[in-house]
Formats: sequence, C-alpha cells, structure tokens
Amino acid sequence: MSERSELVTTCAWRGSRLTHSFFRSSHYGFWYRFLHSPDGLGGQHMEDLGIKLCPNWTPTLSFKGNVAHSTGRHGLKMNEYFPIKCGRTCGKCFDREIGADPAFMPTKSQFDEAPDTPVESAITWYEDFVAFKNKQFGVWGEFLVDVNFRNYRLLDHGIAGMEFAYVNGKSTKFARSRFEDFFLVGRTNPEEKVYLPLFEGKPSKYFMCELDPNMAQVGTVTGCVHGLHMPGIGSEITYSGITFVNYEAAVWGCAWCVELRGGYQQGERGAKRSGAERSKPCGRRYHANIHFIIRSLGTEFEDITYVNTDRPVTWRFDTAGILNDLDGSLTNTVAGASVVPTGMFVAANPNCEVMSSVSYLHGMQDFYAVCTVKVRRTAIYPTFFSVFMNSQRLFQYPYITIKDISEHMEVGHTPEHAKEAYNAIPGMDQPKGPTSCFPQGPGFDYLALLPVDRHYGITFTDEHNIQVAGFVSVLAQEMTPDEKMMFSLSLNHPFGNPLYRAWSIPTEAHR
Amino acid sequence: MVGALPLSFVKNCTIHHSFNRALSIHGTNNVTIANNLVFDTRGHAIFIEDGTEEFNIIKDNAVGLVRPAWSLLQVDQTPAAYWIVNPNNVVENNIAFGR
Repeated sequence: MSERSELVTTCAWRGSRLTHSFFRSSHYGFWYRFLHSPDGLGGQHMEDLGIKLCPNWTPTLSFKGNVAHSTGRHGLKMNEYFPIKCGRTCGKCFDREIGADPAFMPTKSQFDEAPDTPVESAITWYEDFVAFKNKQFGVWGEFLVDVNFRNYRLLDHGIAGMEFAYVNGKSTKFARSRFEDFFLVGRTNPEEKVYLPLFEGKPSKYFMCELDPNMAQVGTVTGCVHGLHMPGIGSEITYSGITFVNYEAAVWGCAWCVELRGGYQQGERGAKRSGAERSKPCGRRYHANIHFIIRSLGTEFEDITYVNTDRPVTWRFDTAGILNDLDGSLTNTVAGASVVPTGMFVAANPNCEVMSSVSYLHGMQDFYAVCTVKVRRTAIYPTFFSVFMNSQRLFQYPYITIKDISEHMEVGHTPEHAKEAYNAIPGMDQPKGPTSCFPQGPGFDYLALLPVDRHYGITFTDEHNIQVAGFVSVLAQEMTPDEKMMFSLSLNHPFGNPLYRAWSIPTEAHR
Repeated sequence: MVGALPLSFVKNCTIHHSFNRALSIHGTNNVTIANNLVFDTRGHAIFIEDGTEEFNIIKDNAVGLVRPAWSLLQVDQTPAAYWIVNPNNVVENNIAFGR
C-alpha cells in the first residue's frame, strides 16, 4: 500500500469513528483560479518593485497524477487561463528567464526596458487526473485558451464528466486545445439513481434529461448524465481517444448557451471573399456578399469508442453546434461526417440521415443527424432599405425564410416552378432579434446550420407577409474552397435565373 | 512572506478540525508540501495566497472534508481542497477525497 493510500484509509477510519458514515468536501477538489495579477501583500510588494506578474498567462509547471472524488461540486475547476510564452512576466521575455533560470526576476529597469513580445502560445498540459463520484462535474472550467488535457479517468459524475463553458472561441484561431485519452463512465453501477440538479421542470424538444426524470418507469438511469458537455462558446478543439461507457448520450450540447445563443465555431472573417451575387427582379435588389471563413477547426472528434452508449449526442436546440467526425468513429459512418442537430435543412438533404430513437418525454424523437457532407454555420447580415420599413415601421424584426431549393431548381424553368410549388417547399422561418441568433455570429441577425453543396433561397418578410428589400452579407464559417453553397436572394421566387440552371445538373427538361 | 525557501518543507503532518484553512503558502517560493493529511477543516485547505508564490512543490497530500468558512475570503465560502492561484507550481499525486 502506498503512503497516500495509507493516509486515506486512516482518515476514513477516523471519519467513521467520529460518526461520519458519509462525508464529502462541500465544493471542489482542485481549483485553479488564475489571477490576472497577484493580490494581497505579495501583489503590493511586486507593485512596489515595479514588476508585473501575470499568473493567468503563466505556463503550468506541473499538474499530474491527482485524484478528486466525492466532492460536493467538481473534482477540478479552472477559471480564465491563457498560457503564453513569457507569460509569467506578462509577455516580456528576458534572456535569463528563457535560459537556465526560470525563476529569474527582472529589476524594474530591466522590466521597463524589455519590449512587449508578440503573443505566442505555450503548450500546457493538465495530465493524469482521476475524478469519481463528484456531485456535479469531474472537470469544469471557463474562459480557457490553449489549454490541453491528457489521460483523464472520470466516473460516476453527477451531471457530466467534463464541462467547459468557454474554450478558445472568438478571435482565438491561433489556439488549439486537445483532449486526449479520456475514459468516461456514466455509472459504474447501472442501477444507481442519478442526481438531477438541472432538471428544469418541464419537457421541451431539446432537454438535458432525455428519460424519465423521476426514474420511475425506465430501466436505464443514464439519460441525464453525459460524458462531455460541449462548450457554449468553443472552437479549435480536438477530442481524441475518448471512451464513453454507460451513457445514453455521450455528448450534450451546448453548455451555458442562453436561449439560442452559443455553440458556435469561430473562424476568421474575410479569409476569402467572393464577388457579389446580384439579382434584380422587379427593379428591387438584393446584394449579397459571400464571405467564406477558413482556418478554423471547430470541434473535432477522432478515435472514439462507445461501450453501452446509445448515441453520440443530444442537442439542446437546432443550432447548438457541429461535431466533426475526423475518422468516422464518432458516428460509425465515414470520415469527415458532421453530427448536427436535426432541423429543416438536414431533414431535406439526401446527404444527411436523421437519427431517431424512443424518448420517455417525447416518444419517438429525432435526436441528431449525421451528414456525410460538411454543415457550415452560416450567418446572414441584412441591411434593409425597403420603403415599407421606413414608412410604416413594420420591419424592425423581419422574418427570414430560408428554403433548400436545390431540387426545385434542378428541373429548370418548367411549370413545376410555379409559385405554389415554391411555396410548398418547407423552410425555416426565423424572426430577427436576440432569440434568433448568437452574439458571436451574428448578434441580432440571422443564423442557420446549412449543409454545403446545396442551393438555398432566402427571402425576408414582415409580420404582414410583405417582402422586404435590402443588402445581405452571408458568412459561411469554416468553409473551404472546395465546398460550395448558392444563395438566391430575391423578392420574387427564384425562377428562370441562368445561375440556377448553371448550378444544377442539366436535365432533359433543360434541353 | 519570506521569498525562496528551497530547503524548507512541511511533510508527514496531520492537520484536522481547523477553523482557518490548513496550509497557507504566502509570499513563499520553492517550499515543499508533501505527505500531509488534512481532514475536516474550514475554508480552502491547501492554499496559495497571493499569486506571487512560485516553484513550490505540493505532492502526495490527502485532503478530505473541506467545509465552507464564512469569516475568511469570499471564495472560502465555496472552498477547494487545493486552491491554486499561480500555475507556476508543481501539483502532483494529491488526493481530494470524501466517502
């Protein structure tokens, strides 16, 4: 028996003797709360010396081999961390520090003379951590950039093995966070009841607890416990070598999204910009600037293993996120597949398959969709100039209608293109405003998850179904040059434009 | 508040039923905290104070039954067994336990 084990055994024995048949720490096992600058007397002392330290930029010396179990909240908690090179001295590098003396402390004059160096990531790993029977999460964190985790064993968590509210995210395309070699077990004892702290009281389409929250009528009890909660704001993340055991849904997305906000993947705007597509039906115009966003990773999965796990993901709402399956192991399909929420556009797409199973709350329910083509997070920024909007003030919150019109246009300019046929195509109607979009992309505008290689028609109407004209910018995030999407922006239904026929494969009807 | 103490250590000690944390590292660098048992204390148990503390070694310790303290810092109301405010320290092979 190791020295550590002896200590634990001794303490447990002592606890029993003190009549504690059950005890747990009230909150956290390990809490890394990275300060922006030192506080207290130490911080004052550094300030008097004229030297700055930035703990939240300092690379971690070592975190490995630690265990946290049976705490009241989380085994490991982390807040606000972005390790960079020379981050210890707030981004100012010194020769001695870089060399053999990591503890070198500059003088005030040295500090003042040192130039600010460009921000460069410092690879930091948190390794070999075990957490079990923690009442909420094995690992929980927020506002982490460029932090990596390896070799974690997380078991019997109250809510989820790991949840991060924000990882990388906006303007952090330089960052890269890897989660490697995770072994996640929802319940080591499948008969055990589940603690349900986040039960919201009423069922909805996307609900964290897919099963009977009272555990009265169903056999499995893992429906409310997930292995991973996807970040509300997260990007540049790779999950590799993850094993999920005894879950209903391995992943839940997205954590800390408010209403419909969150769950995005951030790219770089304007990495490549195409020319404008323009149409002039009836003398009114839409202008469209299509921005293709590249150089962003989104959320990737590879080398995923399931044991007694029903499905890869339960989504919280229709735009909650996109999981990229690098090697086909996440979806048991093909490499490069995307796992997305069910919605209008994936349901109508022949390259997407909607996955359904029985839910206690809703009966047969669509839980997620697997698309063998990429699905891109597409933001739509309109600037309206309709006279109706200006004179009648009816267009403060116009509705956007997006329709997948690929099949509709394929047959060319034929009677099937009648207005009735176009109107019969199911589409997504969404109001403008804070409930329709995400602050990251875009705020107070429109957003949809759209599979590539399809043709979409976009129109805007007011509450009286009067169409609205304006300029429109479209941002398709993470789109690569070999992918394509076409948007038809017209006040009238998109009939007869040669561009539409150029998109589709010519058919007999064309000829 | 004594700076670098590479020869100093706290080893093989038991700290229990404390009302004001267990081990505070304050303004001290390079100290070793190893093989200690902490049980039934209030506020953060093994505690790094200001954020200037670096190169300390915290290893092979066991901490159990940490309770909130209402007369210390606000964060002691939601305490951790190990409270780290500067990552430039070694934290290895420690246990935060319950039962």
